[in-house]
Amino acid sequence: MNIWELIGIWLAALLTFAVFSFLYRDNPVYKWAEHLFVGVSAAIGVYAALDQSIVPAVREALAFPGVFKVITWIAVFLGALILFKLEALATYLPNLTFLSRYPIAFVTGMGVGLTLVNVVNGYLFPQTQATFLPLFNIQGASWLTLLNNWIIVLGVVFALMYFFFSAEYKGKLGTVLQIGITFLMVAFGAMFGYTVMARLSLLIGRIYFLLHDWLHLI
Amino acid sequence: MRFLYLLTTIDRRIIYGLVFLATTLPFLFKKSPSVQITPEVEKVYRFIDNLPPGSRIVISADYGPSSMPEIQPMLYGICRHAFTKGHRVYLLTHWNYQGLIAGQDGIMSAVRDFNREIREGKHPERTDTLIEGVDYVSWGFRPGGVAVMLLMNSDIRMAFSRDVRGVLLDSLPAMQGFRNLRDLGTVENPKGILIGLEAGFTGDVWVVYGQAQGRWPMALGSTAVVTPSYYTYLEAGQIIGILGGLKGAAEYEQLAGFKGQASIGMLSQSIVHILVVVLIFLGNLGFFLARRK
Repeated sequence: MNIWELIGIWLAALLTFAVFSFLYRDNPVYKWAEHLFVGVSAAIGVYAALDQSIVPAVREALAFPGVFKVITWIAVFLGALILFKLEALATYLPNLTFLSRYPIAFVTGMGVGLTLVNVVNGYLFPQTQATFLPLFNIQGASWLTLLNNWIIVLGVVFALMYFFFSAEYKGKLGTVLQIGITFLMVAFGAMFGYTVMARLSLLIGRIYFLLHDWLHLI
Repeated sequence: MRFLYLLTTIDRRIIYGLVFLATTLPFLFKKSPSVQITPEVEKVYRFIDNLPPGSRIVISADYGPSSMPEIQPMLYGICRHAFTKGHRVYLLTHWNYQGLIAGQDGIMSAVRDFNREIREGKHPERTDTLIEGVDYVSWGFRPGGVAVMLLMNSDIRMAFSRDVRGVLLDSLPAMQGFRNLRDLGTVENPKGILIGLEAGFTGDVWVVYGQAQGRWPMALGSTAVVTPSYYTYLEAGQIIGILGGLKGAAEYEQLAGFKGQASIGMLSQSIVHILVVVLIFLGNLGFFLARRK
């Protein structure tokens, strides 16, 4: 391990403690770590946007032959128009701010077009099709498969009915909606359980770093 | 009754301290319990295991350093497994510099360790070490998300003409005969697989805009937060399997026959989960009994 790696590990360990100190109470060390994180992230973000995104994309697109080169210049021109939305430019050239709407309109239009086709084909149809499950007399299927199929089908129907807002939640409809809410709550519970697991995994990762990379205890 | 009241008013710092101890102390025992393998993880492992040598494993590292504790063991485990089976690994990201940092770190760790083992003679089937451009390629990052995925379905070189080092893809042996993602074949006749390692919702985009068009085999590995939403794709047969959170990574490590960071963290996770359940139970018990009084 060279000296720079060692400095990096010590710095990371000390910053970890600086951030953890917030768990006791807010303090200047935590604030310093927070500001340092925001500053470094912003700097890396700007550098990476130029180095990994804008410059290579334009350079490579300009290497394309013929009509692609013209299309690239149009795209670069549209991209440059978004700069009129910057506060610094908008303050001095307020009459030209509207130009920033053209690239936004282009991206919105393209996004809607792509979404309409692909979401129907790649999400709506396959997901709907996946709920068309056999509920009776499946040859060779266990009772567990049948139970799962019933839960999926009923869960979809009742959860969808919960979002049917054109009738008062009374009587039989009220009962159906209660079942719908129960399905939703079970789903939320599963998601919350997974979220707790995820957050604890992050803590485990940090503790592992401290014990393994920093202190070499494990 | 005073005890019951105290249960509902435990200082949060005491809970933080307990969680810290429950997480830290198990590490010192240096034990990694075996985990129960779930079908969704086993399917991913078996799929990669049964691919013919030289198949293509495309990994989309759509996460950043903040999700590395959960997802990095997945990337490491999959890369190691792929290299052991003689497959080629291709890395890309939709998460700009964050994905580049995490993805590059993961694949290079796997390459470094695997090459060391080759030199130590632990992989007698291989005589030469892994070479970038031959055994693995890092395509890097291109902005565009959906547009990049759609382009890759028709021609990868339209999205990435060079690798992350700036070398033309056409000049790399690993890219010979690999024009687009459709070259990964199908689930019935596979020649590779795309695995999305996801900390957000880029996995949804991959399935809806990429897999649904190309119909190539796909699997997902994700942080536990987003894992439940991906199960819908598994049920619909759009993906073959899921590695969910640290537990999913530990399962994969166990299947691949080594104990990595995920396996080591399993004891801590089990104990801290028990602690959370006990605290929730005690808090609710105190609340209900105090209300009855």
